[in-house]
This record gives sequence, structure tokens and C-alpha cells, in this order.
Amino acid sequence: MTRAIGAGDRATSQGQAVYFYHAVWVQDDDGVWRDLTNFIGADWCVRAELSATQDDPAMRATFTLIREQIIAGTMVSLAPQISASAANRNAANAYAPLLNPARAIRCLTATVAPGVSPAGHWKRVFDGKIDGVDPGGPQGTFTVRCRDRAAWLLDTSIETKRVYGSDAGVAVQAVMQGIINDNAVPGAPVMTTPVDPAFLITPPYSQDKVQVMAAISTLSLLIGFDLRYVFLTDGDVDPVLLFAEPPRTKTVPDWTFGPDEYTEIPRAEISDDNIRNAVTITYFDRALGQTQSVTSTNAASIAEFKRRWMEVIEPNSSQLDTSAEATRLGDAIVSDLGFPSTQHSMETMYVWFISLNDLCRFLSNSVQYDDNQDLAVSGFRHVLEGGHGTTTLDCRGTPAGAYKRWLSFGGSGGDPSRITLSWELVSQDSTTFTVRINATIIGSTILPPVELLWTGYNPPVTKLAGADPTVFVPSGSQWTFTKPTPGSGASSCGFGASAAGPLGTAFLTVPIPEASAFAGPTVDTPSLAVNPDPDNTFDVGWGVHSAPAGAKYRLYYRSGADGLSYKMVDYTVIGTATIYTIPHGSDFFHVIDPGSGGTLRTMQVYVEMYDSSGTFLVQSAVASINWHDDGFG
Amino acid sequence: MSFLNIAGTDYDVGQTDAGERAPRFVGQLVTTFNGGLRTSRRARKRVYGFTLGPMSVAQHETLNTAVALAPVPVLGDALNGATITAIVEITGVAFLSNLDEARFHKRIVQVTVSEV
Repeated sequence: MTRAIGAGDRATSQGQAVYFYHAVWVQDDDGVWRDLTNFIGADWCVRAELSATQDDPAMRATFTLIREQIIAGTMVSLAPQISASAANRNAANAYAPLLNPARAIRCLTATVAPGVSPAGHWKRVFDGKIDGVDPGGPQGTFTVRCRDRAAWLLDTSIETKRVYGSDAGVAVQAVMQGIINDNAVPGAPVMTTPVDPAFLITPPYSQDKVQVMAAISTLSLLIGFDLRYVFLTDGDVDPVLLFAEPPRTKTVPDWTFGPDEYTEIPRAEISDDNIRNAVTITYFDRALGQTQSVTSTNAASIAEFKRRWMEVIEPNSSQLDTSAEATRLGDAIVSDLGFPSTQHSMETMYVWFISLNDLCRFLSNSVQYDDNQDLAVSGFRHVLEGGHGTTTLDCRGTPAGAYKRWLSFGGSGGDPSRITLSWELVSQDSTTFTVRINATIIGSTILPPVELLWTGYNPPVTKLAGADPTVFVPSGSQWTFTKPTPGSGASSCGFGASAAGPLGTAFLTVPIPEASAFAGPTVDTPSLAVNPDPDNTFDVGWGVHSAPAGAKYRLYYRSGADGLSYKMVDYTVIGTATIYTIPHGSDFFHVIDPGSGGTLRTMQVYVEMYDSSGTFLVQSAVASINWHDDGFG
Repeated sequence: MSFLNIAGTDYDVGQTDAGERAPRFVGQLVTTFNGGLRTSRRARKRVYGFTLGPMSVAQHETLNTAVALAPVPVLGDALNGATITAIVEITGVAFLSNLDEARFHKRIVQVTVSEV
């Protein structure tokens, strides 16, 4: 979006004589902004280089400063490790380097007519953070490497997975802002969306742990929009985090440059190397449950450069899941790649107001072209040094949102993610079981739908709850089935689940548990807490108990080879197992209904031990017996 | 007015290699694509070159100390009567060719005076 400038600013920049000033401002440890053209009584600014391209989400800057100066007889240094320097002391006179990574930094420039003071004409052209400082520069200089505020988005990682979107749909800009807000990006950036893109995030997806900029750029590129910090208004103003569609259809030039204004055309190359004017978008249509494709073309480009095709394969987890959305993306790509990336470079004296995607008209120069050329800015580079300023513009056919990034999407299918499936037993009883199927895509955060595919088994199970086969459902869905008849051998069979789509099919076999008939509870840890028997013949097992009617299981002691015997004298049960009989004094000591639900249960029995002659040895020894219901402990 | 005064001290100036050099400019003069001229020059900084001396070792050291670390005031008829603040760089030192004077270590000193 073109920056608004003050009345007369353009005419001033075109003047035969024009004065350029630049100033670097840094926010110190106390939060005070320091003007390095007048810091501790001296001007420290030597050189400023600012650059931006369509394929880089951040504007970059390198500032060259004087490293040290003698001011009022005292050496002052900006080198951050010179702790004695007055420049590296905060208000409390504690060591706090002025130029340190992560400090906020700005660059202001003024372009004025001869004899006019820069005061009142300062324009902010860079606003970001310091990435690196290098006081090892030649001839007493000092370089500071910076990126604009997008650096905070690039450097902040998502530490916690969260779910965004909804079944009803959430506006993509709201999802993007939510990602920014949820991850505490420094400066709390707020997006500006001048035109609602009318793109909803549905169904919900889980955002993986990536950089915040990577997450929101992925969403932005789905619809061919651009997201970056730009200056929209005149003067010393904050940049805006603009989420907008590049003005791809713009025809009225924002700026005009004649051969009396620029100094050089370093490049006027026309190449069709990277042209793509037909693109097929392959995507998974959730409504249809099928993989679909749409193809977009750029007729003007095809007429000029012949057909150049590429394919973009969206993963079936993509939020792009309708024909309209796929067409929108395809149209954006063929618009952006329909013409060469850089076919025109121009060097002129400094023009501070240039923004990416500005449409520039280059008047005929009768050397490279004798017709006016309307070209869009795909990149620019400003250099200010020694009172002089230059701007180099890289231009291409029309405004675009991306270039190299689109090319990286083509051919190989964009996202090489693969589906993996896993299952978990949620619950079961003696006759039914419930499983949950989880699907993930390697390298992606979005969960694909799961489709059950029934496989051969004998005898069949019956689905009691859950989606029908061939109905796509989200990862994490559950199904409940009956257990096959005991002894049928069905436990060696399984059923399969798959996630169908352009990435192929992942298959999973889930073992089927048999219904409980004779399985009974499992004794996990029979023990005798106080057992003087060195042979440890104390034993516990399960067996069929015929009486009373309806009882299923019993526990018993098995006398050891040494002739020792045990008799149960008391018991406690933790849980809800039903005790049918308590054959006091017997070597089988109780009968229970094991209950259901797979719950861990514990019974403590108190026993007496006798020798082979029936002589009492120990009284009230304790045995703890643990088991799970249903025989699946 | 002295002919050349650097940091408060008058100096003799040799006839050779003395005078104003090409100035430094803040800004540039550029030629546009169609041959026109545009300029961003907003300041001219004067540059002079002198050969001083002969001077004693002590005088030479005084000059060295005065100009070593910071800009100093320079004035005199050699600067068309102007007084400027300048960085003075000592670019060369030589003994006077006269043997009698050489025994006293008289020196000839070349300096460049650059207006800041």
C-alpha cells in the first residue's frame, strides 16, 4: 500500500539540488530514545543501508556508526563492552550498553530543499530491533545489524499447541491475531486488515510449535495475501502490521521517474526463467470427501511467454478445502509468477517514500525503451552516506505478494507430510470395548479426518457407537464395538482405520479383545506380607466355582509341597466386588463377581498357617491380592 | 595575524607543498541518465596542506601532542584569514638538509589540515 506523503515532498525529492539527512535513534536501558546525530554532544551516524524484498517478511537495515570519539577531552565509545564509556551507562550510572541486541532502533531521514533545516521534515523509514552489533568495523566504525518489527514475530516461537478455528469458521485474520496474542510477541503487534478477505478457518486445527511468523504466514499465503510492517502515513509515525492483498490489478502509477531523475539502469533484463502462468491446485474437498483440482491461468502471460505450468498440492489437512479457495490461491500465484521477477532495476537519488508493490512509471529514455514502462516494486535498497542518498529499485511486471516463496511450493507437492495413525483403548467391559483413533501428519499441525475401513475378521463385531465407515471424522474420534464370542479366535483379527487424501492412506490394525467367559480377573501381585514359610508356597489362583449359583470365580490357596496349609480367617475388600461365600477355615477362601469397567481392585485376606500335622504356626498373616476387572488387568 | 597558527602556536611554513587542496563535500554531484546534473551537496569542507619548519624536537612534540587526539583551531593568512576547526594530521617528518642544523635535530614537518 502506497505511503501517503506531504505536499511538496515529491517535488523536493525530484529537485536538481536536494539535501539528505539521516538519523538513527536507539531506545536506551531507561526507555529513553537517543538521537545518535546528537548523542553526548556528537554526531555518530556515518551510513545507513535499508533494504526490503517481497520474499522477506522483514525489512533489514545496517547502520554504520562512529565507534569512539573524544568529547570534551574524554573518550566516549559506543562499543557495548566498553563499560566505562558514558554511552554505556544508564540513568543510575550502572553499566547498560546503549547498542545491545534486542534494543529498539529507528531510522529517520529528511529530504529537503537547499538551505532548509531538516527539523519538521523527518520521516521514519525504519523501525525495528537490533539483531547484532559489531564494533570491529574498519577505521573506527561500528556496524549495527537490524530487522524491522517483524523480527519479533520471526523470533517468537509457539511454545504451546493450541486449537484455532471452529466448525462454524473463524475469520483468518482473527485466527492470525489470536496466534500473535497467545504467544506473547514483544510489542503486542496488532494487525491491520483494511479489507476482510472473507476466508474462514474451518474445521478447527491444532497449531504446531513453530515460529509465530511461520504460522501466520502460512495462513496468509493460503489466500495470496501479504503480511508485513509498512508505513502508511507521512512523518515520524509507527509502522502498521498490514494484512492485505497486494494491489495486483493496479494500473495507475504511484510514482513517475524520468531519465532526468535517475542515474543508472543497472539491469533491464527480460527472462522467462521462473515464469509460471498455469497452476493446478490439488486439495482435499471436505464437503465432497474427495481430492479435487482446479487450474488457474494467466492469459496475458501465456500469450507472451507460452504456457508454463506448475502444480501445488495442498495437504489434506489444509484449511484450503473448497474450490473457491483453491481458485483464489491459483489466481494469486499465476498473477505473481506470470511475469519475470526482476526485469528492471533503477538507481536514483534517495526516494524515501517507496514501498513494496508501488507501481512506478519509467518514462521513455530512448536507450532501453522508447515507451513508458509501468513496473511494480519487488524490492528496494536505500543507502545514505556522506550527505548523499541513493535508492535502487528492483521492479517487475505487476504488484505481487510473493515470488520465490510461490516457486518453492511447486512441483513437489508443497507439504511432504505423511499420515500416521494410532489407537488407544478408552474403556471396556466383558462384552464391549471402545477405542479412539488418533491421526497425525508428520511435519504438520493439522489433524486429518479419519475414515474407518473394515477388514476381514471372523466372527464380525458390531458397532454400537461412532461414525459409520466412509464418513470422515476428526482425529480423536471414538468407536464402540461388541466383543467377539470367546474362543472364536477373533482376537487375532482387527479392523483398520485410514486417513484418505492426496497423501495416500495410512492403515492401522486394532486388536479386538474377546468377550469374557472364563478369563476372569487376573491376580497381579499375590503376596503374603508376613510369611514365615521359607518355601513361600503360599499361592493364589482362579478357578470355576459351582456354588453358589451365578458366582463366577474363586480364589484359593494351594498347599505347598512342604505340607504347609493356609486357612482364611478374615478379609477386607476395597472396591465393589461381590463376595458370595466366605468359607472360613478353608483353603479356598472366597468367591467373587469380579465387577466390570477394568477397575483396579484390592482385597486383603488374613490367614493362619498350619504345618502338615495341622499344628498352628502363624496367625493373621496378611495377603494382598490385586486384580483388574474383566480379565484385562 | 600570523601566517599559520595551529592550536595557539605559530609555525613557519615552507614555500613548497603549501596551499589549499581539493575540498571535501557533504553530498555528491551526480549525472542523471539523460546527462543532467543533480546534487545533494550541502557543505564544503576545506583541506590544506603545509610543510612546517624547521622546528626543534620540543616544538615538534608540542605539535604532536596538540593535534594527536582531537580537532584544534587553525587560523592565519595561509587560510585566507579564516579560523577553522580542523583535524590536523602529521603526514611526514624529515631532517633539515643543512648539516649544521641537523646537529640540533631541526625538523621539517608535513601536515594536512582538514576542516571538520
